[in-house]
Amino acid sequence: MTRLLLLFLLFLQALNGVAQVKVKPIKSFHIEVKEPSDIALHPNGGSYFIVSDNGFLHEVSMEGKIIRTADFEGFDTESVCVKDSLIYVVEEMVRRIRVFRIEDFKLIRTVTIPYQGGRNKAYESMTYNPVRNKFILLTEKDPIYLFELDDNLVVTNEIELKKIARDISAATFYAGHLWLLSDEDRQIIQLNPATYEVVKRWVIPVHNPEGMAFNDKNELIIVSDDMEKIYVFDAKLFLQ
Amino acid sequence: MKLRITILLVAFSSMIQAQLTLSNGQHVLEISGSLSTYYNHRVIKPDATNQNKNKDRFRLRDAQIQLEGRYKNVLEYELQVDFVDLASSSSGIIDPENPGLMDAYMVYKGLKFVDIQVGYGKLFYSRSSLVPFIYSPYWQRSELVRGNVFSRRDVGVTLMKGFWRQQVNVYAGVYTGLGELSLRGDNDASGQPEFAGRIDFAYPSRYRYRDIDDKVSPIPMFTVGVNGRYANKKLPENVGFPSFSTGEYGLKVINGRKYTYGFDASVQYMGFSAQFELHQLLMYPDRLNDFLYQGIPEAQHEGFVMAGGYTIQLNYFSKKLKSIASVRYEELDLNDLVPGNSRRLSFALAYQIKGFDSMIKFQYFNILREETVDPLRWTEQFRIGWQYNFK
Repeated sequence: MTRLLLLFLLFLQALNGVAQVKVKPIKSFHIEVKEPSDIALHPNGGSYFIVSDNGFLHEVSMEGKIIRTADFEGFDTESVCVKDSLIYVVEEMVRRIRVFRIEDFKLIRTVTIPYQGGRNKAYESMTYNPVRNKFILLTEKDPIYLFELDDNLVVTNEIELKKIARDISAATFYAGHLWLLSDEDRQIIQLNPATYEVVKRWVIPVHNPEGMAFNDKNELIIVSDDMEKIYVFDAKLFLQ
Repeated sequence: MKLRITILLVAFSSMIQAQLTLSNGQHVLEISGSLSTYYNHRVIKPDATNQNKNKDRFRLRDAQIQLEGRYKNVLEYELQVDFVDLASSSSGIIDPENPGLMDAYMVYKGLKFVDIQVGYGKLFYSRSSLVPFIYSPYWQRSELVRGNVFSRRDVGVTLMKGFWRQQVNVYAGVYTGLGELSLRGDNDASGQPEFAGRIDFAYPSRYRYRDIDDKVSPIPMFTVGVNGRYANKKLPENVGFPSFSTGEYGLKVINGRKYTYGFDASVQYMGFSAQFELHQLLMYPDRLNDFLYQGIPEAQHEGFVMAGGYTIQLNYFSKKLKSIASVRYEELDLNDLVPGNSRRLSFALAYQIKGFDSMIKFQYFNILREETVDPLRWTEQFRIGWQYNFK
């Protein structure tokens, strides 16, 4: 009877984990930022930029200590990305992109991109796609839209990513691929940056993954909002 | 033909994206809502006096509109209305599980050390009550927590604070004590409020008020909570409480002192989840002829009455099958001066067409044992229907 129950439980568990590759982190550690929602690598490779749900932009050491905080209090900041000498921060609820200079952490530009979907189902991730020379801005869910923006942050294209995942919580570009992160599905999704077609998927054992970046040590960094931790994966696992 | 239309509607529902958000950059307002309807079949007791024909029915359960707003980082508000219950409550009875006005409150977040909620809404008492109904595979909450034993909503002020990455949450408030009937605007003749408080703790991260592990947690998570409430509503002679305020079992408001306390726990891991919840009422009715004493001599009841019960729920979410299976058992003793208690078993199956936002739900109820003070006409019920949220 006990064996039958065990087999039944294993069968049920198998139903929740088929058809994707599973990977494990090599280490994890707490960070000082409360409710972190996304992460991006500094162009010099020596630190990260992290935004938090409560509206702050921080520069953080590789060990997770806050180095400096921008003199700015936003409104539900959900994404951060870096291009050249500028940091782009996305405020989900109010549909804004804030542009900061890396050098002095000063806010230099604000752009509003209207979107009428759910207030917590709007812009959740942003990155730059050098293959198509566009910024991409993705809505979280219901539906998942990928908007292409030019360098002036003007929307030039709109694509619906149907059935790609239940939600998208982060995006980044690395090693010639576009990478998306799904919180609800706990998946990393590799996309072809020219066509936005799915190439491969991995399941990660991280609770509430909200942010993603690759660093110069060939590591993939995942930020967990609820756990307020960074999880480090060997990037080679994703490039085979 | 009906089957074809149903299939078409269900298929179409997965393509609808109906939420709407308005923003001027500082003020954000979201409009959402939900609709649900089911068919109910009851197995009536083989009793000649109970063979009326109202055993089966279609029912529109929800027709709700919800407005949720936020102004900067300092103010949040919510207004939620159910038109079905607004229409049906003209008789004077308010369904405590689903009242016409469901939420109408503001939360001030400008003080960094504490948030203040004022208005009408759910009391922070009972974890199961705090789980939004749209996230349940069931068509009805357990009898213990659906608002007939203690009120689920009231008008008042709540102070709330989260600590340690929201793993510890503390709530304390003062309310009219009349529960859902507070909407009528009448105070009761005692002039006394009700006080309520709750503290919950979660590990290894914050734990939302949800029953189903739809994210298939990769780590085991648990939460425990304790809560209590107190009211001392001693009425003047020859005066009663406003109509219907005492509830179906006469327990929600009593003439005298009442202490209510409860414990709850929830765990989840890899799609499995379980909840346990217990509540106890300790009542000191002021008058010896109070019906709660059941006509028993004072020497026997010693001036107090107890009631309460517990509920256990086990759930499994299959992402691949897009389905939830759940079983729930509860025991409820409405009066410890009367021998026996009631025991109920429920089973639920839900198929997610589009997550919780479009879901076919089936629930089976079975009364294993009923209490003499609460005889029922039926022994089993079957409900099947469709829940659709535009949010």
